[in-house]
Amino acid sequence: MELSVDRLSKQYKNKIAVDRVTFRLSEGVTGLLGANGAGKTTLMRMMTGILTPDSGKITADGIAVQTEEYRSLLGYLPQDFGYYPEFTAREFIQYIAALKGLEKKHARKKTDDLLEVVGLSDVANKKIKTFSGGMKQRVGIAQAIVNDPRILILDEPTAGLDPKERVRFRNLIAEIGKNTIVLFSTHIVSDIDSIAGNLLMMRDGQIIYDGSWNKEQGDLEQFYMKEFE
Amino acid sequence: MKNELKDVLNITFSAPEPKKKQMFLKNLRPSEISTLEMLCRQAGYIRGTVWIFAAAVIVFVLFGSWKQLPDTQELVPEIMPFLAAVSVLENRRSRKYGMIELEMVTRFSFKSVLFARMLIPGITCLVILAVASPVIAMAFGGETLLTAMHMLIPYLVTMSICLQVERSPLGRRLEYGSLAASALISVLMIWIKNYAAALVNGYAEMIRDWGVLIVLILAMVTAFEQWRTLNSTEEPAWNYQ
Repeated sequence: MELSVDRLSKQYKNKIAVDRVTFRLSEGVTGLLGANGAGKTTLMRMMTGILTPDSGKITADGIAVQTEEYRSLLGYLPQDFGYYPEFTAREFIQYIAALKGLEKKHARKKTDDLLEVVGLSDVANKKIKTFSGGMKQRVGIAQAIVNDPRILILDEPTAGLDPKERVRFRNLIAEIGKNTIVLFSTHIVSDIDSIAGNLLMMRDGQIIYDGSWNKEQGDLEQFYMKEFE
Repeated sequence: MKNELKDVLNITFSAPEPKKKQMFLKNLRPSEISTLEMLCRQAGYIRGTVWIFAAAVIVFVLFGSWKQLPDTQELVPEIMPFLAAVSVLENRRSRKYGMIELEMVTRFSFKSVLFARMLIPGITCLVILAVASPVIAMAFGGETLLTAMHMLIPYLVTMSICLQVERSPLGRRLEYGSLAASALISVLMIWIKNYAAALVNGYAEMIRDWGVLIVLILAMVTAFEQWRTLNSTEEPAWNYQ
């Protein structure tokens, strides 16, 4: 599968948040690096169909972003997400599974599997409002992958996770990325250093780097810091 | 002999490792539910207050009719605005709890969720009407259709006003703006009943002559407001932050 972003732009009043951005993604983890306000979230919201671009096109193997078919391929974890206070972790994932069109029996099994994967099996029936930030984030990750997405968009997914959880999360994403297009936005280089095969860097709404990164090219953190000086 | 040969062949030529097994499994999409099934499942996520309020109206109608409580016939239309407001308040849940972003990217998008939240209480109201109108008409004398219209008109008026309130910038900020609007309508109805007898008689006459037309017009206005609410969920859903 190929996800194509073609000359995408979005302007808010007098600020150009995303400026004629073009790139293509295929299976694997792609890191989206950029400082706060660089346009990462706006770009991702357009890639999920939440925001309509002012111009440009997003397609996955020719399927347009506005279609139900595209959404059925999609998994998304927003930077901040809410939840209904009466929901337990299990109910929350099952609710999202229902909206993603999963059949009840399959949704139930998938939910149990995912709660195991994110280490929340023992608190599955506890209300989310009693969870810590890291636990909520893990629920968010589980809901994002409940439909086995072909495209997974993660906006600052490691926020709120402790170092141990970060490592665990990175491993999970690396595994998912073997056969899924994963776009992982962060401003922390170490989050994607070891798992991203491809890299996009954004500054002032524009892509300033698009390509793979290997150790021979030097230290990514140093390169990143230099670009944003 | 054949089995022995098979065993030998199995040992000598082991089966090749599956290629791109995970990719193949990923391409097998699980069976998906229909829109109708999704709507039914959404009923399970409608807040308890809607069901409790609807059940309370039915219980009140049945009890009042059974015991011949004199105010039953007049009180039910005055309660209907609250039922409308409770239903409309369902629409703001996603915004209130920050679920819009997640609900927008699912196969059944936020619009479908909102549609379900409008449709299910609407059907509930029809069920209430179907039960309450003949029961009241039989208990207190009168026509079922007229009784139904007396109940439906305040419901539809409140519904269309509340939908407008919820879309307005002020309504977005006021958590219980719709409830306030419904209380105002209800109080106005009680005031008219007690202090403006001429208006009450005129209203009853108007319903008798033009009730069906009025209900049809109000139903169209409400449907239009619902359509506008559904269409206001796209791009602006993000501008509230």
